[in-house]
Amino acid sequence: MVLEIFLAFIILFFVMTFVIENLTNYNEPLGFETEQLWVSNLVINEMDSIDIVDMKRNLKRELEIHPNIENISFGGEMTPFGGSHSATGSDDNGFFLLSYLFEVDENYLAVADVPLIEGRWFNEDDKNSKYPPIVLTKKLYDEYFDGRPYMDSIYEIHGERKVIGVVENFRYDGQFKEEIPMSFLYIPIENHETPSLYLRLKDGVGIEFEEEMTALVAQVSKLDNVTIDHVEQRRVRSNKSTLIPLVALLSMCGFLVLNVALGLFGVLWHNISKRRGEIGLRRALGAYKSNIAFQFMMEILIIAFFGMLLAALFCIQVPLMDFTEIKDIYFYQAIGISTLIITVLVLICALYPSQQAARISPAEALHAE
Amino acid sequence: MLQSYFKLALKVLSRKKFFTFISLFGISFTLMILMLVTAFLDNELGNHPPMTEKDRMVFMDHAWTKLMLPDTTYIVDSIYTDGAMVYDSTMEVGEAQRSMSRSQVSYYLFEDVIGDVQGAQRRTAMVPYLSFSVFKNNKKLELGGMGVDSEYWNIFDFEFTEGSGTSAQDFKNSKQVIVITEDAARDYFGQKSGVVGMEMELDKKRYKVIGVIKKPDTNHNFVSANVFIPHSVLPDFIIGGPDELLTSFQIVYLAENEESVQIIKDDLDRIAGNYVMPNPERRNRLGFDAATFNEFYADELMDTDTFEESINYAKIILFFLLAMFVILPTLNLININTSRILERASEIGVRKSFGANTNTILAQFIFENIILTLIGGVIGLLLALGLIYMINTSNWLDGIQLSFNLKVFIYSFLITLFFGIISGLIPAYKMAKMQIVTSLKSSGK
Repeated sequence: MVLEIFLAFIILFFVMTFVIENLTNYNEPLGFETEQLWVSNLVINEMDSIDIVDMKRNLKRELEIHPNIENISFGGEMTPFGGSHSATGSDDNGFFLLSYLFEVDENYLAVADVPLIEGRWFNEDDKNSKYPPIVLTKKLYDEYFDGRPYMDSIYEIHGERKVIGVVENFRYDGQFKEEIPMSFLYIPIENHETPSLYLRLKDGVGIEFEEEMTALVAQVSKLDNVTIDHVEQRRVRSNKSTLIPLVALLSMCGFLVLNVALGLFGVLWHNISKRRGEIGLRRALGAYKSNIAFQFMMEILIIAFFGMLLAALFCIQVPLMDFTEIKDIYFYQAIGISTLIITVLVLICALYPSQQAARISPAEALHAE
Repeated sequence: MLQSYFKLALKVLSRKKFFTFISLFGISFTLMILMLVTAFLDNELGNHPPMTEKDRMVFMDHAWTKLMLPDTTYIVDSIYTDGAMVYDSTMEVGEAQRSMSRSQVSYYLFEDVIGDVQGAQRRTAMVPYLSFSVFKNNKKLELGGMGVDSEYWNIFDFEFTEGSGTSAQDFKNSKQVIVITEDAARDYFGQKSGVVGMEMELDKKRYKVIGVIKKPDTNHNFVSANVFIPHSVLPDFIIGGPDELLTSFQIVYLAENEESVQIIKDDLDRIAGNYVMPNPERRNRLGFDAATFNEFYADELMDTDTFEESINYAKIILFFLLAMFVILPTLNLININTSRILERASEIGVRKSFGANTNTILAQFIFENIILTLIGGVIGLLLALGLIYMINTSNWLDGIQLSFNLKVFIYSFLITLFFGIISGLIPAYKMAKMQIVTSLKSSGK
């Protein structure tokens, strides 16, 4: 029985680590509002840079006045849940810094509802500033800056840039992923690299508007292949790849634990019925019913405790030896939760058989003996 | 003999219903999940159309270019000896990576840089991840597309329900022809068959349907598109200009036989190593990520540095999970069986004193246990079939359609048998060895 509890604990430990890690990430704020936000990665073929800027201007002019659209913004090739990343890393600043990059324009703050906590967002005057501006996420600052001054300072991040603001968080690569350190770069409308288009819709505007919107964007931009995605749908889709293994693992683990519990229950019951004589004798000598029940509960708890202790000693090696990149805290939490689950389970399983044992009448038990 | 064992087994099982329930619950759920896992693994990694020849395929979905520069590392050791500091510095010249790009490859790389590869019988380059939005009857259809050549249809054996794949002639002449899946035909034309010769409009271009295929059961990106067009009709910005190494193609080689797979990989490494980069001041190394399907599959799950590492890790983790998953219910079953068998001590005592030997008794208990596991196996099978049906109809796994075939059934049966024998052996052995006196005495209780 010790072995069984030992194994159950180890399985619970691994599954719980995975679950806790993902759920913790899931509960962190995303850093932008996905509802009513549409995005289109424009696929541009055979257009020179002037045409691209013209196209962006036309789109801005035509879409801004559309009654269903609240606000529009242009970004770079990276889009939320788009699956692609761009990063820069160096130790040119005298300390190592690796930042993922996300290109946006001055309207993005309002379009995506990004939580700016310090400084300011980009504005049109930034086009002419000596150093291009950059907005950091708090995560990037915490990870690398080590208390160094940052506001209005010049740092080498994809070229020399001046820090103008800090954003609380921005997790564009997936809700179950750990936040990556990143910064926002400014691309004014004159930027001619492959753009993406963001649309913030007015409340109450729904999917039925999509076909019209697609046609409008295609017509104004003169592009053949325009696909508009709903960021909310992208979020749900990107979550699915984590959610399915998560649910599968949890149900497998749940079944295993239930299986162990039932087994425990059966074995306990059997053991107690074998010890009727002993129970009868103790009752005859004046033990209370509660004494008997307590004795059996304690017996099983001690056995379970040893199993768990042994398993915990094993499990704790995982964070101590740094086998993985998963944060240590999740492992400790997983140990705590596994202990809790198994203890509760053992108590529940022991409760009924112990009650049965306590109900044995001394006369009958001794007679049978 | 067996018949009486069988009757006895059923009698015993119905006597202690609660214990029977616990045993059956454990057995059937364990087997259900094992069957599901087998069905899933078989679906994803087994040899089924369109990847029947999977073991002979080498996939190359990415290549990378790097700029490596000499890098000098100084290490200064300071040692405090005899009241003075002594410095000992060593210098190492190595290489440091300054920049890197990793992307899908270009047609130029496929045709001109690599060309024919030793050990490869066929080769194809395709453009995956095309996507077309079509509005049909006020509904948005998102069609995943792929640009292919004629060899694609020779390497991947899709099941055609009508028509055929892109011909070499059509490909060469950049004819606007299209092969679609049954699902795409149903969504676009409203009918699953009889659509060959009809026209489909994507991105303002009209394509003539030349073939309809069954949608593969797996959603792996090498085969999972709804529409297949010749990549010769794609615009230049997708194909890439001359001398461009990285654009949007993926490559598949079909080896002459399974042994040639390694030859292909080695030859690709050789070609990458010998290639002289056109702009060495910007990028001076070229490398290919070529791997077998299993290696790719493991790599997607594992995120390690090399394909070999990924597949090893994946194997270890899978083995660990399955082992845990089998051991725990087995232990449970052993515990319960021990309790059950102990209750029958008197029966054993009587049988032994009338001359039954240990082996007979052992055989009887194991037989009983196998009956129990078989009953559990049948329940598990039914549960698994139900779950597979649910998964397939609700499309939980995004296009993966599990099927229950003979192979899965045989595996499941073997697992069941193994389960029954192992979990019955230990308690039965304990019991069969029991002294007659002890067992008869304990019957008084």
